[in-house]
Amino acid sequence: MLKRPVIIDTDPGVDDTIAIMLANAHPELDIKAITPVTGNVPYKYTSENALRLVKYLEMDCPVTNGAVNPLFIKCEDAGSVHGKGGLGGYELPPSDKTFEGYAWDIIKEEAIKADGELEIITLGPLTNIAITLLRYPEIKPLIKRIVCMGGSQYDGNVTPKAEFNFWVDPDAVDIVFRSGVPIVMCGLDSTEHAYLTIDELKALQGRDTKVKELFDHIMSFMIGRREAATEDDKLQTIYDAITIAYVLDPSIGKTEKHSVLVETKGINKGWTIIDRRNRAGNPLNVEVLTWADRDKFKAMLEEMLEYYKN
Amino acid sequence: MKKIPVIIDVDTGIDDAIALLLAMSAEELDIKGITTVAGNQTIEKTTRNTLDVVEYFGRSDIPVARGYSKPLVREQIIAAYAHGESGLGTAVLPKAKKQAEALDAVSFIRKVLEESEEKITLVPTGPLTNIAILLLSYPHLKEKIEKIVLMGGGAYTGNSNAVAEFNILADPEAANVVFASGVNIVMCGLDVTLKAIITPDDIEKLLALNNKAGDFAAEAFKFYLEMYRKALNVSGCAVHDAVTIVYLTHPELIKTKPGTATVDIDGKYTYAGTVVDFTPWRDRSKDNALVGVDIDRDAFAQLVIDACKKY
Repeated sequence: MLKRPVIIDTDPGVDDTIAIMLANAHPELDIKAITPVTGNVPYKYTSENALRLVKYLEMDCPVTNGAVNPLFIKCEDAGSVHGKGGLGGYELPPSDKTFEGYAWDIIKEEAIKADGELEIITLGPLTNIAITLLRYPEIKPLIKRIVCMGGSQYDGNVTPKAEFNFWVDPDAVDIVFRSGVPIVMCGLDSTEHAYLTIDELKALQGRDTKVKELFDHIMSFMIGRREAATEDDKLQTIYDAITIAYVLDPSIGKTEKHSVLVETKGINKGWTIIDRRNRAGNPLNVEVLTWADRDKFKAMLEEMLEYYKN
Repeated sequence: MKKIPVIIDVDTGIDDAIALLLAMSAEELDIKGITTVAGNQTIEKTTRNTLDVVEYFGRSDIPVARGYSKPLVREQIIAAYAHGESGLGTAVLPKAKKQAEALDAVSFIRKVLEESEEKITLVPTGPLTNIAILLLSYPHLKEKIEKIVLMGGGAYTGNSNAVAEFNILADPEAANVVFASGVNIVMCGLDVTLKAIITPDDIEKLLALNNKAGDFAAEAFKFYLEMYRKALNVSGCAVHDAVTIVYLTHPELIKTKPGTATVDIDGKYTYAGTVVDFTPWRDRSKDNALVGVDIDRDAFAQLVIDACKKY
């Protein structure tokens, strides 16, 4: 089997956790490193969660040091969305692994080794990737593509127009989007097509798997939040997992190439502005996911649970 | 005497060259290396000029490492109007045989800091691109930095526009990273550097030295003088970058004031301005900078002449 070298840049995070579980269930992805970044919860939690998750899932890859803060602006997290500690209150057993090197140094090494085949999947703010591109601009041609969960076609979540990951560090997004490296943007309102209902979340619980405790806990956390939500907010999207699903099977979604800018200042910071008319003739720098197939996504979650079956 | 270990980060540049002349002849300094950055001119030219200055003045022993060619975010600007097409005005130096290190500037600084048992002072005299990427990439090395003595900014004036000084304007986001890093900063900005003046009389004295340093400095200053005459209608030129070196070797000549300095990266009109809060009733525990406000002009000019005399 031809393996695909990938880096997973992440801020776990409940949906990051499901995403990494999904990626790990597909041996065709050769996960070269997990690079933690600040985001959903403060860095001390995202990094520790990453380290513990790698051990818990018996993954064989380094976890690096990453960016503790956004490039230029103050750090703000999304704690309540991910519960205490970032994993909905679940505490993973400690890991005997330690952090190895820095994200940018390892990405550079892997990009050179993979000789043009390295894919970077980002599930959090783009700070680590921006630092990588600033520190080692010469590796840009060696990165096959960056598939990121972030941004939105139309509506935001943290502000009317901005999605959380990109709102945390819009300057990093700007650097990545203008870098010339091919980008796939799995944004908010496109991944939301692949929602799960409360009943569907419940149906995924109780399977006899190696990851039962963690998986069921996260499902319960999501179910609890959905049950408490208003009537028009009952559907759950596991954003980061859909991003991984797209990497695994592009037929899960539809994409369009567009010229995309990100606002870095003011009340709309983090807004991914998709210029569908592109009168200025700017480069079509981003492949925008516009839709995701919820049946296929559900089937992939089933397959994943099958993979972890005891 | 205990020497101060320094790494000088330059965009040579007329006043960078003078700063190097002062530094390379100063007994007070142990120069661990010189790194280059794009600024006054392109990275090719600033690196070329730095190698040429270092070799021509007999300090080929000092490693020179080439740094970044572009600012973090904004489009590149250079200052050919102030430093000429070569970056050294009308002064011409023999092309050095010396080559830049195989390591890039940030890798070089990283190595020196990691291997050093004592803390090292960084002396950037150009845009802060290299220093920002160093601090973003290897935050643990902040502990190895004694302080950053930089030429840049101005509490009360700009030069590229009303509020922005060139080094900061050339890479404001980098400056923002450096000023917010928590590392102690000595800001030799326009408030002090515009008082570090070399006059036509000083240039006569340099020529009278009748040596290669005096001749080089005099020729470089001539271009600078003409620029200052045109821009400000004054007879004299400010040797901005040299103030950083004088701060280290002769701190008694420079008056500084503690303040909280930040770099604006959001403003419509004050983008790249260095905003220094000196107000006494605010929380002084956030002070991150000593801001240069005055210099003994005559003593400064004499130091430049004395430094040239040593070559």
